[in-house]
Amino acid sequence: MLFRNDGKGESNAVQNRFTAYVVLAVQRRKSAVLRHRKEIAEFEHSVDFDGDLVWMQSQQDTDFSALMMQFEIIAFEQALDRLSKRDRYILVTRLLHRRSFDEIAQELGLSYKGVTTVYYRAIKKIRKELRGEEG
Amino acid sequence: MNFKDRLIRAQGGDRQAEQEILGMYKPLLVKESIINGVFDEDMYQELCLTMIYCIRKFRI
Repeated sequence: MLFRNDGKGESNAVQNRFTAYVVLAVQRRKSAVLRHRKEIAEFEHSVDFDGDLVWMQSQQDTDFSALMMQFEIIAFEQALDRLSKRDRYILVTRLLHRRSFDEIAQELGLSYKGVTTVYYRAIKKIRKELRGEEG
Repeated sequence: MNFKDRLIRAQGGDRQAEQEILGMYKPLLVKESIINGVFDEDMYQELCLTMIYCIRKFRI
């Protein structure tokens, strides 16, 4: 089954696109798994050190992080308010109602590409606002 | 059978086509599963899952 893919013809073009897609996905998954392992390793180390102390610290941390979480939720709501009605609608139907981009595109009379662009742009905007307020 | 047909059949639930595509990309997965010069089986499994997910999700 050895042959050279010269990128000509539809099947070869599809295969090239698929390969690029797979390579990216595999690399992302790999770095995600490695990051996850690193986090676990760090956690295990701190438990070994001194059980009670770490537990108390983590209790304090949760109080603090709950407070921070509330701030973050408020900031997030403000960021959502600032989006346009259409952007917000796409974001909510995608994230909360778990509808596919295809369905949303059909409903709004947009193309698939159009909906994904709006979606990722909205996410980017929210990220930017949240980060901007933090720092 | 060319690659595109195979991919379409794999997406339609043809297990054999899926296996064939997985076999084609096995060297890539093995290469990515080698961490610090050691083959990591857990990683290999994760990457195989990712690969199958890719086959199903890919828009032709």
